[in-house]
Amino acid sequence: MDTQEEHLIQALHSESQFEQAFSQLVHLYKKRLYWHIRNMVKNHDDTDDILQNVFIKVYKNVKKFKGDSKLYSWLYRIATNEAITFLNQKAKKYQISNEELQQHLVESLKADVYYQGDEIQLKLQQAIATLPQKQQQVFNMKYFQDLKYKEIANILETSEGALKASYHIASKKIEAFIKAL
Amino acid sequence: MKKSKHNQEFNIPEGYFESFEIRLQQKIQQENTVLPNTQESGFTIPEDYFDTFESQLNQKIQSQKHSSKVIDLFSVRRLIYISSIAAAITLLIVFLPTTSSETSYTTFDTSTIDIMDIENYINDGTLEVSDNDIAQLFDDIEFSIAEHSIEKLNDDTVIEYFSEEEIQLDYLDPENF
Repeated sequence: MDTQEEHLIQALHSESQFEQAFSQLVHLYKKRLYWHIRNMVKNHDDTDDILQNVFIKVYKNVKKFKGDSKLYSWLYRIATNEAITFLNQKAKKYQISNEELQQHLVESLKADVYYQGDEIQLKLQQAIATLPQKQQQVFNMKYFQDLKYKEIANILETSEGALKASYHIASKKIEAFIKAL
Repeated sequence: MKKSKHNQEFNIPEGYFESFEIRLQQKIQQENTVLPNTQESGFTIPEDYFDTFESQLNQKIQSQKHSSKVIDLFSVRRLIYISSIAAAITLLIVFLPTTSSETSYTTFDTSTIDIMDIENYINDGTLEVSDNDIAQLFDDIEFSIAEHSIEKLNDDTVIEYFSEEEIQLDYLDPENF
């Protein structure tokens, strides 16, 4: 654990410094967590709701965080779980499968004011939507967020080897999908 | 590189300039985590979204602080289980004299039953309490659960409840990591 993170966790455990430390934590991680969630749920408003919920849960639970794992991996894991829960709820609400929901989310991008992707970028989103959930997560974190395999391994609690294989398979599937269009 | 004649009195950490580029590159990479994403994915955000995010979050946290207290259903359920066991034991004691000797009635001491034994008994699934039994406990609550049986609640309603209320999920507990 680096010194900056150590100091931040210490401050988060202190009554007098908590509010200031929490603001610092939000400032440090809001953008990274936002894009992590946005890549999963696609829509800005949903991402905003989920991100706020993530930080509210962090606010309520961070005092219990003992530093056994990295702070960022704990935060990313909460964000991932919140986003997955949201997607599952949405699929249930519309009575469709998760795969169908992914297709629906990508289709909605065409009319989304906060999406300015070109044809290729939209095709890439369509291709990502065909992947299994775990491969989508790995691909998004590696390709769009440029996280290191070690960091992704900490977040998803898996081995770097498995991640590399997963990313390779995902890339091949996406390549094949785009070529077939 | 030699120090200029104007800053002879200032010192710098050892290796500062040698590692400067690496640290600068790391900082730029950290700052730019947002940029490659926007460029490559096509996703955009409302203007000033990140600048106003903290104040919006703060408002939401403050409003949640003043929200009503939540009934912990799990504790209530456990309480009902234990109460049911206690009631069953009481009934057993009451009716025992009619089927067995008087001696057994007088020698039966409920205080010797360990609460953990009762919990284990529940956890083993030996005793089942229906949702209606739970609902009867809440007959003084504004929304009558008795009238709208818990069995009729669909998954969405339950999920919504868990989302809105402060039920803590296991994954939030850092000790689970």
